Amino acid sequence: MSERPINCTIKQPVLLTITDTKSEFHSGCRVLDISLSNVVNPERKEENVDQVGEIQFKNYYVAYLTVKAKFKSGPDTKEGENKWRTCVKRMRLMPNAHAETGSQDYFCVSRKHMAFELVNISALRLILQQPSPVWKDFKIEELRFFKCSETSKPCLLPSWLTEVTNNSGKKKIEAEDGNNFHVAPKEDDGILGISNLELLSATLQQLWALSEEVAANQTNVVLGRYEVDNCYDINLLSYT
Amino acid sequence: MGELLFSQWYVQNLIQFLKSSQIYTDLQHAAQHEVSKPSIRLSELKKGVQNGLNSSGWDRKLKNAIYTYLQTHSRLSPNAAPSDHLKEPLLYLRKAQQAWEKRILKSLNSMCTELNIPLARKRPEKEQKDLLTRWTELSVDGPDLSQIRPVYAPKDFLEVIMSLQNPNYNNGETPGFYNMWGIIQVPLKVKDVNKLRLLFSEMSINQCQTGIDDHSDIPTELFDNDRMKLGRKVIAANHGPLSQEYAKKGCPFSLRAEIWTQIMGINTDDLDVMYYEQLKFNVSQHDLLVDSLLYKDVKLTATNDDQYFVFEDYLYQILLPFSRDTVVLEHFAQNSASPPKSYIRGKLGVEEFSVIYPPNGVIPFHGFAMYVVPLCFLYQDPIKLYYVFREMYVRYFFRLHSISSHPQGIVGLSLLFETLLQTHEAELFFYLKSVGCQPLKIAFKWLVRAFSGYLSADQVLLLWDRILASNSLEVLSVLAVAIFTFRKTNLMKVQSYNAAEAVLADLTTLEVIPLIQLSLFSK
Repeated sequence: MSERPINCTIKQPVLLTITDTKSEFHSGCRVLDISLSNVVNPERKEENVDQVGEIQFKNYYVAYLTVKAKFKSGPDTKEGENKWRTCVKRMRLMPNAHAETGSQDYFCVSRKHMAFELVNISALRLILQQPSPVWKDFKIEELRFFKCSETSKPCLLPSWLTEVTNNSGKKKIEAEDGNNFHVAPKEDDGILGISNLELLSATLQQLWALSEEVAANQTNVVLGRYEVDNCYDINLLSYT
Repeated sequence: MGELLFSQWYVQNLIQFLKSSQIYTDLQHAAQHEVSKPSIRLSELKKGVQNGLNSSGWDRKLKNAIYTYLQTHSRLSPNAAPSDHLKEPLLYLRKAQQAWEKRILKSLNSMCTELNIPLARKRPEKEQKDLLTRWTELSVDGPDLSQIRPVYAPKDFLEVIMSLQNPNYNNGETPGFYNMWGIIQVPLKVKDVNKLRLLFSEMSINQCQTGIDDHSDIPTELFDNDRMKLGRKVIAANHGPLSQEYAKKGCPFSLRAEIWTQIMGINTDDLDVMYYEQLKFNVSQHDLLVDSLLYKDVKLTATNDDQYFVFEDYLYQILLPFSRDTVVLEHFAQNSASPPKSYIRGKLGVEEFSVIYPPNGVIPFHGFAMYVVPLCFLYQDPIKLYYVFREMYVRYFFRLHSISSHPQGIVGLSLLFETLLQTHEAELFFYLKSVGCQPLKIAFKWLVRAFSGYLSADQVLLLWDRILASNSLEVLSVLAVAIFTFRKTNLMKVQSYNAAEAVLADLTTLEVIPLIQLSLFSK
C-alpha cells in the first residue's frame, strides 16, 4: 500500500515495576504511549490526524497486545467522561509464550480486530505483555499507524468460483470480512478470463484481444539458462 | 470451496498458476474438441462441454493439478513482510544460516585454490561427445577424486545446530534453570505425542498395515489380497488425494512407484523428457567442481553399500543433471538457505555477469546421494526417477540440511526427538546424558539422511510412504525415538558414547512400522 503512515509521537516504552527500584521484578508488562493530537502540520492543515484505521508493527517477543484509546474532548463532553477505552483486548501475538512461534512476526491490527473505530482520538496506549520469564526483552518494532484499513478494492475473482450451485439457485459466498466478492453483474458474462465463444467468433477485433490476452498470460516455464552469454567459467565463489 | 480455508489472494495466485501452466491449454483443446462433437446442442453448450470434460477424465486432471498446488504452496499471505523474513522469521536463525553458508563457501573456495582447479569450466568438444556416449556407464571412468573431500558431513552440521542460541533467551544467573536438557537450545514449539497420534492415526495398532500384515508368513487372504485390489483401484482412479490416503497405511512394493507419482502429481510427458535431455546436454557442456563432489559422495556412500552399489550409474544420471536444474532454485523462496553466487571469470563484481553456482544452488554434502538411492528400487526409467527425486527434494529433503524454525526443519525435528525421548523415556535420556552421550548426537545423522542408508531399503521406502502420506517429516523423529526405546535394555548398560554408538550402529534388521506403532500407540 502506498499510503503514508500517520505522523505521531511515539514515546519510549515504560516497564511497569513495583516502586522499589532496586529489587528486580519481572512484571511482564510494558506501556507505550502515542500522542496524536499535538502534531503540528501547517502544510496540510485540512488533514485530520485523529483517525487510525490500521496499526502495523514487527513483534519482538510480545505475547499479548492491548490497545487503549483516549478520545478528544468535544464541547459537549462532560467532565470525567474523557476516559481510556479498550479498543483491542489482549490480542494474542505468540500462541505459546514460551516458544518462538510469532515472536518476530509482522502483524497488522485492522478494523476487524478493534472493538470500535478509532475516530476523533487524541492518544493511544499500547500495553505489551509477556508473561513468560524466559525472554530477556520484549518490545515492538517498526510501529506505524495508517489512516484507513487496508481493504484495497476486492480483487476480481471469476464468478464461477464464487458461485455455489444449490438446488434452489445460485448463492454467493461471502468473503471473510463480510464483503461480497465481486461477482460479474450479468449472467451471460460467462467465465471471466475465458472468453465467450460466440462473441469471439463474431469479430476479429476480439480475436485480436484474445491473442493479446494470451500474450499477457505467458507461461512461467523457465528455460533453464544458467550461463551468461554462453559462458559459465567460474573460479571462485563470492561471499556477498 | 470453503470460505475460510483459502484467502482471495491465494485463489488468485492459484488461478494465475493454472492459467500459465500447460493444463490450461490442454483443457482449452479438449473443450474445443467437445464443442465440435455432433451431440452437443447449442442451447446447452456450457453444460454439454462441462459434462464432456468430466466424462473424459479432465476434471480429475484439473483436480490433481490444483491439489499439487495446494500441497506445495503455503496458505499464508505475505503481509508486508520482507522476503528474507518469509524465508525464516527468526533473525538469529537467519544469521546462523548465513554464517554456515559462508563457511561452506570458504571451504569450497579453499579447495579450489589448493587444488588449483576452477569451479566450472567449459569442456572441450571431444570431451563433451565422449561424456554423452558413455552416459549410462559414467562410473567406469570418473574424474580424479583423490584430492576431493566432502564439503561437510552431518557431524559438522550438528555442531552448528548445537551452538544455536537465542540472544533474547534468559540463561543468565542460574544456569540450567531455563536451559533445555537436550543439546538443542532453540525454544520451538513441537508436537506432543497426542498430536502425533492424530497425525498418524491411520497407523494405530488396530489397523492392518502394509509393512506388517503383508509379511510373507501371513496368509495373503487375510490382508494382502484386498490391499492389492484396493491399490489397483486407487491407481486406476488417478487422483492425488486418494493415493495419499492409501499411502497412509503403506504401499505394496509393486504399486508404490505409481502411487508416489500420483501423490506428487508427476506425469513425465514429452516436455519433461525434453527438459531432462537438455539438462543432460548441459552436463556435457561444463565440468563443475560440484560434479567431483557428487562423484566422491557416491563412491563414499552408495558404492560401499551392499544394497545400493548396483545403482552407481543411475545415481550419476540423476545427480549430475540435478545440479544443472534451475527449477530447483524456486524452492529457495521458502528455504532459509540462499543459493551461492559467483561471477563469470574476469567479471568480478559486475552484476550482469553474476551467476548462481551450482546452477541449482544446492551444494552436496557427505551422504547427499542417499536421498536418491532408495528411489532406484522403484523407478527403472532414469527420467521418471529424476523427477520423483527432484520433487522429493524440493518438498522435503531440503529442510533436513538448512537451519530454520520451520516445524519440519532439522532443528524442529531434532527438538521433537529430544522432547519425545525426555517425556517418554526419561530414565533412558537421563542415563545417557549422565554418561556423556547426548542421544541426539547419535540420532542426528539418521534424521539428516531421512534414515536412508541406515535401514534396509524396503524399510526406508515404508518410512517414506508415511512422509508422503502425512506430508510431514515428523515421522523421522518418532522412529528415532522408537529405536532408542527398542534398544533401551542395552543402552542402559553402556558407559561411554562409543558403546552407545555401537549398540545403535546396525539398524538394518529393524522393522520400522511396528516400532513406530509401539512408540506412538502402546502407552
